[in-house]
Amino acid sequence: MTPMLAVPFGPSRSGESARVTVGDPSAHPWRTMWLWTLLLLFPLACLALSLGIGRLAVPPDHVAGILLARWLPIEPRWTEIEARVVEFVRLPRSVLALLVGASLGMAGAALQGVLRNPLVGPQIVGVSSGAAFGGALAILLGAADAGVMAAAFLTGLGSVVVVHGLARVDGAARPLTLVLAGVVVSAFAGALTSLVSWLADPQSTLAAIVYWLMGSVAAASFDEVGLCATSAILGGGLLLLLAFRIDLLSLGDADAAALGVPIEPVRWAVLAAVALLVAGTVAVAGVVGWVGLAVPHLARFLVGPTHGRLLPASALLGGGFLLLVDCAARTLTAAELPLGMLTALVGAPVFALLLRRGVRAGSLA
Amino acid sequence: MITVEDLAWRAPGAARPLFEDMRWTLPAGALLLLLGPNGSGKSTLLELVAGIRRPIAGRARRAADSVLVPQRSRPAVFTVLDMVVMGRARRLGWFGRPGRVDRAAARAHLERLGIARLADRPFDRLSGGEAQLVLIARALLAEAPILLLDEPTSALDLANQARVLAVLGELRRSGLTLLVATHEPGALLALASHALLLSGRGGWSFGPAATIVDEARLEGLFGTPVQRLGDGPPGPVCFVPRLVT
Amino acid sequence: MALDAPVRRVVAIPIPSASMLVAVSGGTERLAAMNHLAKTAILEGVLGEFFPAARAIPSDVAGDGFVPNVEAILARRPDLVLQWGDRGPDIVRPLTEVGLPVLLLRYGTEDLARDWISMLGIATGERERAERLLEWRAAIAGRLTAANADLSETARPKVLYFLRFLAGQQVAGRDTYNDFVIRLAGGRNAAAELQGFKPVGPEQVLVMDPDVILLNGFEEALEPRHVLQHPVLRATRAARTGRVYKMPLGGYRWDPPSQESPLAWLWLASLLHPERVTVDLRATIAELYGWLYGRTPSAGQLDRILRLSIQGDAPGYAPFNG
Repeated sequence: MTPMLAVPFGPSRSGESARVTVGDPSAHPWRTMWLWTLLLLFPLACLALSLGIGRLAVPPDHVAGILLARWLPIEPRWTEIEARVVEFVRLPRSVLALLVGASLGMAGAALQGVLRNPLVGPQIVGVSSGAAFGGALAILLGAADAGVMAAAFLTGLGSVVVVHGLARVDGAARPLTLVLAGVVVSAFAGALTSLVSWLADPQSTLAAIVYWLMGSVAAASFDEVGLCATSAILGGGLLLLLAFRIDLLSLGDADAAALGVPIEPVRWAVLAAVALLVAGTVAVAGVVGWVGLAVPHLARFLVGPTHGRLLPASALLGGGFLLLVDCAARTLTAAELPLGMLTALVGAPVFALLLRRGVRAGSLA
Repeated sequence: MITVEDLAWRAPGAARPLFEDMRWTLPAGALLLLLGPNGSGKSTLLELVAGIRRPIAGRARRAADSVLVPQRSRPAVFTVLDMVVMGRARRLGWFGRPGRVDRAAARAHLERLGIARLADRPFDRLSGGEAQLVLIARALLAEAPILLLDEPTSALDLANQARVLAVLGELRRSGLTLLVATHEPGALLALASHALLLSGRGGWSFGPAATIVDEARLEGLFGTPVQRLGDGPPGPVCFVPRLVT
Repeated sequence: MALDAPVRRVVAIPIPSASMLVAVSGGTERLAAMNHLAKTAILEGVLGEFFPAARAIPSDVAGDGFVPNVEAILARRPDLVLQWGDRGPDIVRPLTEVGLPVLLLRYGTEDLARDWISMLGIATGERERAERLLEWRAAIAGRLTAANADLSETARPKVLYFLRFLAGQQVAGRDTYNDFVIRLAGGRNAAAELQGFKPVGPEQVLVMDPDVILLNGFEEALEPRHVLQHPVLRATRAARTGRVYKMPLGGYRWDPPSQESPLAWLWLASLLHPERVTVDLRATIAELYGWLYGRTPSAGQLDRILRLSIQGDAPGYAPFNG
């Protein structure tokens, strides 16, 4: 039950060491510049790695040639199979992993901001499980990617609406109540997903639903990339535009109200953007947990709490992280490993480490 | 100008209103002292005037925008400069972001309050007095003509009290309308033009600060004998509880 | 367990057990009730057409995860209940506690399938039918083993069986029934390095580069064109040569073990080694069905069983066209 603790947002009184952020604005400008250069290079390096490795050995110069041959007149020295693998397997899959990771990183950072709780992520406030129910239902009814995404968005957003409605008192929702309501709605959505699985034909759709719920980008296509990119651009763009308002909301409703800024409309907009981001990822990759929870912490450690910097940093780190995880998922064994399992295996210890740091520094009372 | 008409407030679940049928008008550029026992509704009245809360009856009207300086803010990991810049939020609109100009303005206000050196410090590492000054700087950055301050000097040591009082004096001279809720009327009395006493039992009285704040009324208000030290204003004044031995 | 007399009213909970009971006992008369999924499997195949009465058989006796609905089962007054024997005691105990005679079945290998047949033969008093079925099974297996005995490992085509394809690709590794069938029919499993059924990515399938791809009969919408037009998998040798086949659906699906398994072995063997295994599959099916179900399949039914509409033109499929 620990994720439901009301924890003050960030360190409070002691432990100077815990609050040093590498990207502190007080740091030298060149240091900040280096940091952002590295943050940008990280996902790009992961992308290069992801395009370069796989079960089929393709020499790096062939990979580069295959990719560049679209625009440059390069004499193909590669085989047809190599070209297909790079172009139709690794490229869409890598871009998809990047988009899913970036979406989840941003969604998590925004949620932790507006709910003022460092221990929340898309999974904890019910968005993921709501979207998962919608997606599972869509699969049961025989829908394809866009249908799954639309259903996932509607139920993901619906979950947020219900969570918000449950937690609303006096026109405002308290963060802790919101998290508790998220737990309630998650449980209910989980039960509905079980119901959908129960209704599904074990010989056909059930396996599809179970596999999809585990989370995978193995069957990535350019259609899915387009779908996820749309939600990432719309949702992520809205969050970036609202970054300054999210800063304000992360201070607390009282502070925002004191400065004459309306709170609820902004929170709604942020939650809708989060629902869109999560729905986009759920539709193409199923429920991939932990990225949205752990990545924003690392980003906050690097660039500080201001969302104008935190959101892009979470996107870059989340995208790179999921790329690395997916590389492992498809190369460690001949069989595909479930993405959700790997993110939990990596994400949970990283998060535990951060939590432990915070506890030791006295910041997570 | 602030006008309060038939205003009433009752805490949720409470049997009696904290105040009702409240009517007064505060001219622009005035400084209103808000006095009353703990729980008499001083903070609530500030929120009603700010428009953050809806009264159970009547209304509070403002001729201009207002900004509230809360008693304290949540511990935030933001730097002081980031914190102060947030005062710009309403002016920047939904999608706005503070730019160079806004940050320069924030630095100017920090300078004005004598805390420019704190700009890059984390907000939650500040002392109580420093934090109070930062919150005032943040409110000033909103450039609203009306400033509502909730116990700005409570829990401050003498030096910090002096700095906050000096700032309030300067703000008053610059023409802002100020509402200040406080438990220590003495030091602020010299700055105040008006005072509002809240009994917390429904009653209230409003009038010029000089005439309305005296031992007798304070004794009635707090239900304990009060002694006045000093002969101001304009000289220093202090009201202390008179101990009956 | 000892039965005093041949059973007359059987409740079948495991999905393949209902159609196997029909086969061993020669009709649906003794099927008192079954799992709704077993009923679906019967109705969607040719058995539903052979035995329209099956439509009326109750299918309310088990819930999610094969948990028995004891009251519904008791209401059918069965003298035997068939239940899974390898899925934990929780789905068995409720039956034994109310004193129902239960036959526990394990599943997944050829030996276990043979056990089913002989046990059902004993229980229904159709021992002779069961033994004949087993003899036929052994004869076909023996014939195929002999036909492929001198095949070198490299002469065996690499075959990849997709248990799932449309949503998440899963293939059959070693220690699966499909691995056994591929071996028996003269192929080698392209996914032999994997154990059991495992998800794989398209890149891995290219690395395996199967000569023949078998698609499961479970995913209704799945057709060979999904592989032939797949942006990546069309680069496999199987797709380039058009040797992509969907498993037929007869009285039961031909992918898992059933009373009709030898038909599946013959089908695959003749696709892999037409020069070694020549068989008039349509006649064999008709002969078996006449004896097993007492019905003669029409030409249209045979076409549907072999899925001619989607793969009639595939290489090696000519002998199956009527």
